[in-house]
Amino acid sequence: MIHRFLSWLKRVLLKKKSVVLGIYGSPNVGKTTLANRISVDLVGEPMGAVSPVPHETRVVHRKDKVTLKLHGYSLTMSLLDMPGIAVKVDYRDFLEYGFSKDDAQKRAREATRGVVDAVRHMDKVDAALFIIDATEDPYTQANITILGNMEARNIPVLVVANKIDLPAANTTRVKEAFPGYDFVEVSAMTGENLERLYKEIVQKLS
Amino acid sequence: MHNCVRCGRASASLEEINQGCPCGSKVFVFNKEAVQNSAEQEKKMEQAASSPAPQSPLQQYEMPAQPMPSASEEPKAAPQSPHAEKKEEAGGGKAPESYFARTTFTSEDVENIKILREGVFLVDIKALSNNPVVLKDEEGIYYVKLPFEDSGKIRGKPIGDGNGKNEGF
Repeated sequence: MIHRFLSWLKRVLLKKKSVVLGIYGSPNVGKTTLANRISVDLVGEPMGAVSPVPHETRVVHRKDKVTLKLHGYSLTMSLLDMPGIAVKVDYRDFLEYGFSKDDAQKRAREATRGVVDAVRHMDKVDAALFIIDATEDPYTQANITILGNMEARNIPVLVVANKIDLPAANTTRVKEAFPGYDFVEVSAMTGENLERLYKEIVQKLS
Repeated sequence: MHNCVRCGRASASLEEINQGCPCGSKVFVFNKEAVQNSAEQEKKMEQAASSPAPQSPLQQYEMPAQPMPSASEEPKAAPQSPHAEKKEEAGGGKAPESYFARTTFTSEDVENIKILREGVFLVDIKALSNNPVVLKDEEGIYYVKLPFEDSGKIRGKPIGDGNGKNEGF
């Protein structure tokens, strides 16, 4: 399923020494968890803090010189962990997590600025991992609009259905919602299926 | 009721609006709050006129309309909207022009559209050229319109149609 995404990466790598890979998605779908998993696996250190509170990542985190070496091949990337993109940010959503009203409003302002930054960075990425929470309905306005933005910018996208370790995960639903995209299912939390992703990338680049 | 946008003067009649304000301006804004306040005031006066007068101050005290607050109870502040002050400034007979003139965007602002009051917006056109549209409803509540117009299609195919893959990479 990911052959087209990988073939594009191959073409890019022939021209560039490093690929800028953006990790996009709605809030709380596991973007930072996946970024940390990749970063720890390949660099040995995480990229950012993870929290059950939405919009924990409110600025773009970047990790350069992330090198994937497998079967004698090598791929160097710059990983960009993006703030979650939402069409509405409401401070009242943070109150239930114990934030004061002032702190919640400040967080909402920062989160909104993060959404804007994430969209701006679409012009700077060579390819994108679009993370979808497999336990949730994938057919949301935010998901559709994010993919539409990437489409408008000709950004190659790999749809990643995350949280497959959870009983409520339904990867078929994700796959059927976005049939036109290369697709892979993983658990960023447990690392399930990530090895396959790495392996496929390296094989396609050979 | 309408207010002149230049001097804030409340117009008394439609004829005056058609002819223009004595200050020279011909642009008026409808003051919804003033109309509502006026209607409420009239209603209260009608109720006061129709209700019987209390027989004695003592009797009135014995049957209060609302429970008396206890000494330990802190007085409750009136509910405030972040835009309440702005609305008061913009309406109520004060000149809205001065308010509009001093309301700008700062580096702290995330939004590029401000709601000054109902039906009146301040738009940061420069920021809109490269950014998503961000509308601030009230402090801490933002709506984001991403730059891509959702056409119901992604990669040229309807979503969820089950057809094969899109051409791309």
